[in-house]
Amino acid sequence: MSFTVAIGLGLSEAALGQDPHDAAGPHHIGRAESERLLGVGREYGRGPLPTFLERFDVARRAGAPLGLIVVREAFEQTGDSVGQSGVASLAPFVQEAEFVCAAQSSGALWRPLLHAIRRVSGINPLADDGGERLRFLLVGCQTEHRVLATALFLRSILGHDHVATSPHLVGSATSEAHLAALRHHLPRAGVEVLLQLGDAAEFAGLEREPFANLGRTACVIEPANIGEELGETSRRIVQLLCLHWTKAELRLLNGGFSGSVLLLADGWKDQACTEPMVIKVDRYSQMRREIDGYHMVKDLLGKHVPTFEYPVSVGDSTGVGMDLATMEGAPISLQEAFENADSDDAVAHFLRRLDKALDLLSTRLYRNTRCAEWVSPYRALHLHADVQRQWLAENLDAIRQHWTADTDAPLAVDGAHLAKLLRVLARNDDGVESEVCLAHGDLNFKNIICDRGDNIWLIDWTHCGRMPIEVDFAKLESDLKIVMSKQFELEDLSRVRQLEDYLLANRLPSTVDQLPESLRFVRWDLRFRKILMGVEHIRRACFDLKRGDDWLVYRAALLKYALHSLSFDARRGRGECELPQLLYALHCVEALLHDLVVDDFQLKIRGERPPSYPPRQRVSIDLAPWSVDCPEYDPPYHVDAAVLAHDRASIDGGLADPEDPSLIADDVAASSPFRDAAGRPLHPHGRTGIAGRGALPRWGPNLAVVALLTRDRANGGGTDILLGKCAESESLHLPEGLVHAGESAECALGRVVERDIGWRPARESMPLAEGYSYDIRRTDHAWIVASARHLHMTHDEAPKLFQLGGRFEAVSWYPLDANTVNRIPAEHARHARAAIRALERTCHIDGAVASAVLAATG
Amino acid sequence: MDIQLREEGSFTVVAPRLKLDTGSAAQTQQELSLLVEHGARKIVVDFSDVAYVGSAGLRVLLATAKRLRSLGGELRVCSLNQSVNEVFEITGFSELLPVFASALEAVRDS
Repeated sequence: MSFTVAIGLGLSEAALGQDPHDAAGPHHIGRAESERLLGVGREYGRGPLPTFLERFDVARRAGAPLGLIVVREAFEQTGDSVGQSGVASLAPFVQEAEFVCAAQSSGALWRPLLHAIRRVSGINPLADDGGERLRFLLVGCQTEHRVLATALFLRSILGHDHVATSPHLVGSATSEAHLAALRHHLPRAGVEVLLQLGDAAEFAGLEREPFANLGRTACVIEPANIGEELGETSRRIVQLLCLHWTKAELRLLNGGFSGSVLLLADGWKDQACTEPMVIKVDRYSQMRREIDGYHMVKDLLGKHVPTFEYPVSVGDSTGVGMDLATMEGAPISLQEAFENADSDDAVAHFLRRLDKALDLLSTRLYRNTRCAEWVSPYRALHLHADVQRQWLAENLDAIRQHWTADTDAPLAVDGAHLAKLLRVLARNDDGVESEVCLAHGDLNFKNIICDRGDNIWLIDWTHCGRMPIEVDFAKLESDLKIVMSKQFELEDLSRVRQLEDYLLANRLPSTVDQLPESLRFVRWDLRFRKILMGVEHIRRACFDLKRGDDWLVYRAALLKYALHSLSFDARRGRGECELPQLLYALHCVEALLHDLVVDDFQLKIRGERPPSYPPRQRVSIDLAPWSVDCPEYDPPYHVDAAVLAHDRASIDGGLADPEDPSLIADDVAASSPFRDAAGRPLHPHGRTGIAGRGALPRWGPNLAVVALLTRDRANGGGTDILLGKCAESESLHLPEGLVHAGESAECALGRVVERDIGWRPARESMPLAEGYSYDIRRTDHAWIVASARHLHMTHDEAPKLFQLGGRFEAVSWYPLDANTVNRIPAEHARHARAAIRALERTCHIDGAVASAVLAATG
Repeated sequence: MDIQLREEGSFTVVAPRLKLDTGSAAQTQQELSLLVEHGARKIVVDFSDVAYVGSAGLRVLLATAKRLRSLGGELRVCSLNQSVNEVFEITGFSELLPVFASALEAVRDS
């Protein structure tokens, strides 16, 4: 049989004093809290706390297995009985209690508390079976420190499973800290928070009935069916988030597909309506990312992102309450505003709100955080992965079945051809100089909230990060066209395709009045007008912000989101898209693939270059081979000043070849089948758009070493890889460096790793691959031949502290998974994939895990 | 006229001359579009007399292939010389368009 110990904390005379006007000392919890717990005026002493203590004492005296311990504050008088305890206010309700004194340091409380528990219960709380036989209910004041510290001691240090408290029996001078403890700290520590006073009574083995009209009931969730739909975990989280209310009226804003729940909660305190709160519940890992994202942007977007309450976690789920500051009237998402826009005036209103949101993001977020960076668009947008083609094929099969079922005709789309186009396209690892900024990463219209006063809030920062400036705009355009075009029927498709082809051919579409005659239907059909005007506003905002008129990355991002839309299949329970929207998305995919695969980016030589290089002369890819005559090829000649400064002909110990081509050794000249008129070796793969050696010290092949250091994780739960990060970039890099003359690759690896992380491998590495390696420093006269070497270590063997001395701003162990590999530039990602295969062969990585990572990375 | 036409069964064989580059792409595009408008659905582009194909030429080929595909037709290419074949390989067009060794083989498999 279990024994319940109630521990009263902070029940000082100051805290429990009858006259709230005496609430002068620092130990009083304040008038409102005092009245809530104790009662007021003639009702003083009839509040939930004294009533509970009185019933508890009565039951104890009747022989129930109950005991009360009162923790007396150090400043209070001493005494042995209740009346003499200095807590005279307890005397009317409690005849007998065990007193312990909290000394100046709380650490000194635990020993007397353990003795007191043993005295009142006769059970040793430190005994092996003590945890099963003892139950603890914490009541009293200063929830955020005194109650919390005691709960943590019992639950986390002593390991007792049954530790509980109830908001009806605890209070604090600071309501925010009090709510944070009840919602966040105590549940996270595994302490049960009993929302109903009756539940607390039951916990102590008392009857519920006497407490029926005492204290507030737990917040009532309405409508009841939403409460049921949420499921037990989400409902519990919502109840904890709303525990400061008496009633919460919920409205579902979205949810289901991704597993997250987004709610608008109108709160009531008795008869009074409070400010509403947006509640989001999701898996812990997702919410963690969202909270991190919110912290990244909150100083930039201020009141336009929600203010977060403390998160509440139950099991694997976490929820947060978000306040939308200065809200006027009930908020709606921009998607609702768009869908409800059924007149030109309403569309104009929607566009004003859209412009406001775009201006807010552009001014405060994108413009403020942007910098130029070389981006490989298809890698950055994860279009390079094999799984993209698998998803395309699966989704297309499903769409084909829907089409056949509805029309009894075959669908004239060749999925195999689309997959080939995607493969050809995504094989391109070339980079473009793009503006990268802090962006939302999943900016759909449901994530833009507005109110009656056209105030704007931006929610769901789960995918926030540094990415090309076009990404959010392209996502909005995709959302506008595909997810929101719910009013289209199959017979509208030919016109939808016509409009889409026009939008793809024109970076900045015309206004409705200036459209070509073939699109005159747009003028009299509001559905098409809404799309055209929305796209025009989105693109205008994007290209006003972006320097230059290239829109390759924008189209690549449109392709990514159109591909994703194919899976938002309502008939398969995966989203909101019915057949017309899926076919619209499919047409976008088809048109974009055909457009991008013949873009200059695809059909010209690679344009990436280090910042010190002049722009490359980007000739057509068919003119790249030296065997093809190309009279117009006249590339800029460039050698970095640092290379010239290390000319070994003039400097002792210099690492660079002399500039004079007559001094080039015969074996170097013969390193390529091609030579120029001066006898210098030419890049074996053809024209690069820059002559000279650029930043490379040697004519012809420059030997380099790439270090792949991996380790077992501490608990055997996977493998990590060592990677470095450069400033202002999301990319991750392997340690690498040039091999000096006369140096072996193994020695060079030791030197490079020591330079980058201040640690030298004690064991020899294994060769993974050796050969020509694409490098942005390549020129017509100099290129890289790399040796990739792999060293796998146990967790103990691997370095843990790093001393940075190379190009990295930070170095760390990263999990060797798809997410990490996709952040490594293509040439080195190839080596990381080879390392995964090597680890699979040596059984350090499970075969299924390796296959999944390889499919998602290339 | 730099383009020759002939009918081979259900196929129309189009044989451009010398180069398929920026200079000739527009005319080739026009010819191919006219063929499609006049009902040709299966077209073979014969590269026997084409020494060089540039990016503009590739664009014409893909655009025509896309249009034919949407009409239930097909575009094939044949008789690529080594240099044109290299361009097809480098750009990935050898994966995107069916390539045949000769016009005879291209029109045989219908």
